[in-house]
Amino acid sequence: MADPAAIPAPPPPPRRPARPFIEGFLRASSRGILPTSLDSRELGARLSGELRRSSTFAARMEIASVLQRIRDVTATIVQGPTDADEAARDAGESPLLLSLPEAKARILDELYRANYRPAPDEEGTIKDFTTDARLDLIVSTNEAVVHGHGSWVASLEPDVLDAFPAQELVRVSPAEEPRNWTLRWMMAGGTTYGGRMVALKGAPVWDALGNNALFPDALGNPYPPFAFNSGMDVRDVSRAEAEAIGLMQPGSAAPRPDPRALTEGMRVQADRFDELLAEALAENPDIELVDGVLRPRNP
Amino acid sequence: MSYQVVIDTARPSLRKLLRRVEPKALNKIIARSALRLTRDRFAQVATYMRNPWGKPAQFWKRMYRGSRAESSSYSAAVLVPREVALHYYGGTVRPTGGRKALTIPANASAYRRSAKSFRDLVVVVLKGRAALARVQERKGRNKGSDKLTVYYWLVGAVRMKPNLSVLPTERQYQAGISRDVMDYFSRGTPPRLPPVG
Repeated sequence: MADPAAIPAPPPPPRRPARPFIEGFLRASSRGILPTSLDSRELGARLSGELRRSSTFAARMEIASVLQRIRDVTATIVQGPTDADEAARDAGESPLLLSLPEAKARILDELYRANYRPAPDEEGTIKDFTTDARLDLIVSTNEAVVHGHGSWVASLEPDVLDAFPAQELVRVSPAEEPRNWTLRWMMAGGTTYGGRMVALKGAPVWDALGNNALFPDALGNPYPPFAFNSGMDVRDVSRAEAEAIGLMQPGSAAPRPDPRALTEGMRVQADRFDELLAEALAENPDIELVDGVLRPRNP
Repeated sequence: MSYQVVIDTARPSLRKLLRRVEPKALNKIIARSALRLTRDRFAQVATYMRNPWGKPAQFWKRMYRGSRAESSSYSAAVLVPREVALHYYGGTVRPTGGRKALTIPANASAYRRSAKSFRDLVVVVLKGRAALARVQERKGRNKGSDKLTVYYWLVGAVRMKPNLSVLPTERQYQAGISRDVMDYFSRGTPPRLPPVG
């Protein structure tokens, strides 16, 4: 590794045009708004993974304008700076990037504007949307899920699958109270290779890691983050490595791409939201849509 | 940052294979390999970077997840979030948007939180240093005096030194990418090839 003290500082980079992440922006901004009075457990049990991936929602958040604000700040963070943002920064009008603290402040502004009030017994807890802990969870999770979806789709491209047919579950950020991911891996049906949690892309273990029925804190996706506040992610494993550890036989074919990576593209998500919501209502007669809010059906 | 991938084409079988491989597919593999190296470094940096209160910083996890590979028939690249550049190249951060000062968290409650989200902070000057603080009236036998809790220091600019260790070196990129490309072309199963004819 280079010793920073021994090497002179590099010259500042040349100014290049902004490279906004348009695909990520569209992915984040095209999700449907789903106000709901259901809690996390109920949402996990009743909504399909595809519907959750097509929606912006938060457990027991019924105010559409707040969800709209969450969707907008997520899309802005994911997109990164545009030419207009650079011009505004150069003119001293605004910062270049939407920071995490500022994103949370914008959502908080909307909560106050919409007269949001937490339940008396939830005030000051993680269930209170005005707490920094809840806002941090919302912004961090939404940003991570949008990035996770994009990485997942990219990892399943045929050429990438051919060269990197497997991936490893790895820790990318330390946790103060880490979950036992090796145990989760085994519960999800995974096999370890010399202690490494490696599986072919598209293997059932990736869906299982995000399955609410198995892990109540799971997010319902076959890609990271698999659970709230998780410091785990995935790392490509090459064909040579996969063969060396015994995960693949030499000469075997690459895994087939997950068809969801094609059907759950950003455009399709936006088109499918209403259809997916209708399916959820048809499959769960104990919930209903009242004034645009998903609620338990009154008996 | 640029690098060269040197592929050993001494073997006739490899030369034959390379003539048929689409540059687009090769560049996709190069970009993906470089992405893995970059992300590995971010995960490594995350193990020793702490916030001022000793807690693990979430920053490098966000950088890991926000990085992506891009490629075409003529180029391969890894795009990392813009914030990485400040760490790698260093620089001076100044307030923008009409603000006159940057807010530097002074206690753990202020970390990752915008000053305006507190809604009750006031500007104070302590030993010549401007700060945003909460002023609370003391109760009990100390009633009559105020308790001051500083949440942010107000500064005109912050200078960050360059830190080259947040990215792999060019030599590390070259070695890792070359290894992945050679593995790809040296394996028993031929790589995906375009239809002949």
